[in-house]
Amino acid sequence: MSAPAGQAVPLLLGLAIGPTIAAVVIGIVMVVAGIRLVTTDNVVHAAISLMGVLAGVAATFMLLGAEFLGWTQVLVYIGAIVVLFLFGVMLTRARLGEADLDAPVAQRWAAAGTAVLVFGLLTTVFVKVFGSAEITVVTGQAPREPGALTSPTTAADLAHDLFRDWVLPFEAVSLVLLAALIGAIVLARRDDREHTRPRVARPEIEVIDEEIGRGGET
Amino acid sequence: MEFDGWTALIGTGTVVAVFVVVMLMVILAVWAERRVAAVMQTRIGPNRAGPFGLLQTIADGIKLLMKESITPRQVDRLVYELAPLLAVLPAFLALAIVPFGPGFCIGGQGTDCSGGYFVDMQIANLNVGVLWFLSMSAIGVYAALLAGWGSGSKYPLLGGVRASAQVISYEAALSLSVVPVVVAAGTLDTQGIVLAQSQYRWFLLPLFIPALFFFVAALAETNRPPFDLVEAESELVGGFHTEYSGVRFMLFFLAEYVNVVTISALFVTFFLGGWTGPYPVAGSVNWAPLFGAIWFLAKTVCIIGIFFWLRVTLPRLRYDQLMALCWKRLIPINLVYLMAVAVWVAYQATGDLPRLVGGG
Repeated sequence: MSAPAGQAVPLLLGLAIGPTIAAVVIGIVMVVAGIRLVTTDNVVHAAISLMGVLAGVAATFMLLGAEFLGWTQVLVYIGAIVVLFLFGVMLTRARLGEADLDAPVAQRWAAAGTAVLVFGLLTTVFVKVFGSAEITVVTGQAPREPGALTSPTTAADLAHDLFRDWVLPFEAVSLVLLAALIGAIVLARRDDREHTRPRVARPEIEVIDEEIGRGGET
Repeated sequence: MEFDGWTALIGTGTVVAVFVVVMLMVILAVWAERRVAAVMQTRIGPNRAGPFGLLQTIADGIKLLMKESITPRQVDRLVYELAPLLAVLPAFLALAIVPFGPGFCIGGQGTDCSGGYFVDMQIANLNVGVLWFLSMSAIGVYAALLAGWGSGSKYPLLGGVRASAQVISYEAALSLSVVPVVVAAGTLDTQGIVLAQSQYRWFLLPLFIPALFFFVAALAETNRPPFDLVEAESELVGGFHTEYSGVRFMLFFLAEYVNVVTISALFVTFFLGGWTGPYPVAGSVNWAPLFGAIWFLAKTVCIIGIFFWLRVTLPRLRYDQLMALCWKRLIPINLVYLMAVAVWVAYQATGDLPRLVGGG
């Protein structure tokens, strides 16, 4: 067995061939998708690559037995966040057939630096905390010891940890999300009384029409 | 029970059986929809191919397969080719968690089927079945979105934008109407949800409002009338699939009807007691699985019938009505209902209402 790419490595080494091969394949898919994501000029292609990366994350969760977390990842990230991202792209810069990314060089370096920093930080934390940890594979209905690293993780285990042991961080994160929501409303809200009723639909459609008009000429 | 050749064979057999049953249902549904619509509009409908026109769908399918699959010049190849696949794959994958009947045992004894093989009448008995279904319907959004953008043409783009806004919104409503079911049943597993409704304790009555909202959101999720703004013929030519022809169009068409069958089957699972029925009471008869499947399919066909009925009855919603219905009605009312169900379930479990609602 060779050392596979991806964060699931230390826990799998020396344990089983199947999961290791799966981890390697998932890792390769994620790396390729990740590279495509940052190198392509096309926003929509980038979004499709992002789907690949996020699907890889979900697959890694499932490989570690966190079924609930894996499917939540698919539901929330692939099913909602990337869709919203594409929706935004279509509303604002959907020049038909082309949607180019033109980040300035400084921005690219800043992004690369941030990526390396986050990678280093997360890797250090994970190796320090979980480097020598072992996941116990639970078969059947054996009760789970509190705080133990077990696989598979059931929805009940997860709920217990999240809403009892870690409820304060959870609530803090929800506050941050609430703030973001309020911020979005403040930014998006226009205080003209004229179009009060169909405000949801009208301005957006106008933007699209405009963009289509521009796109059609090219 | 261990994994060997028989387990693999049973697994493959289940997949093939589900596929055949669902394809038959889709073929009949396409035909039935046209006939039902014809009856309601005092027309005749397709009656030439085969007895009562039953073979019409097959004829149409062959026609679409033989037609040239045109690729317009301005399309984005990757996105354009990917979209029909992203329509049809999640549609079929979502079927994996539909419980068509109770599981049964071959060759084993006792409740745990020792020494034999336990056959689930569903492809995958997942612990997180409901989540699987929601994930698959979330991925299905991409079909319309990418088809709309990748076609490089005006009407598909408008269809794609409408599709994304509509389906994201109704995805939330759909999920929120399933959550009360999950809370009431205490499990995310579809078989568990069916078992929680045994002896006629169908969730339809206690959870009538979520059931109604689930149905409305299901209509919107599958882009069926009156929520078919995505492919409104009178406004957008064909909507997101305007530029698709031949086999690729057939995949979109197929995906829509598979989605209708899946979501009707899941409505039955969540609210109408799934495969439970009046005749064989809880495994008392050898034929219980067969009867279970019959009850299940009968209920599903009734729900599909309501889909058709609404299609010919209701006019299409306006875009702002669509959004207002979802965000101002379905989601808030569902949230309130969810809270009520959660409090009730917690009360049943602890018998301590004052502490639950915050007093003392």
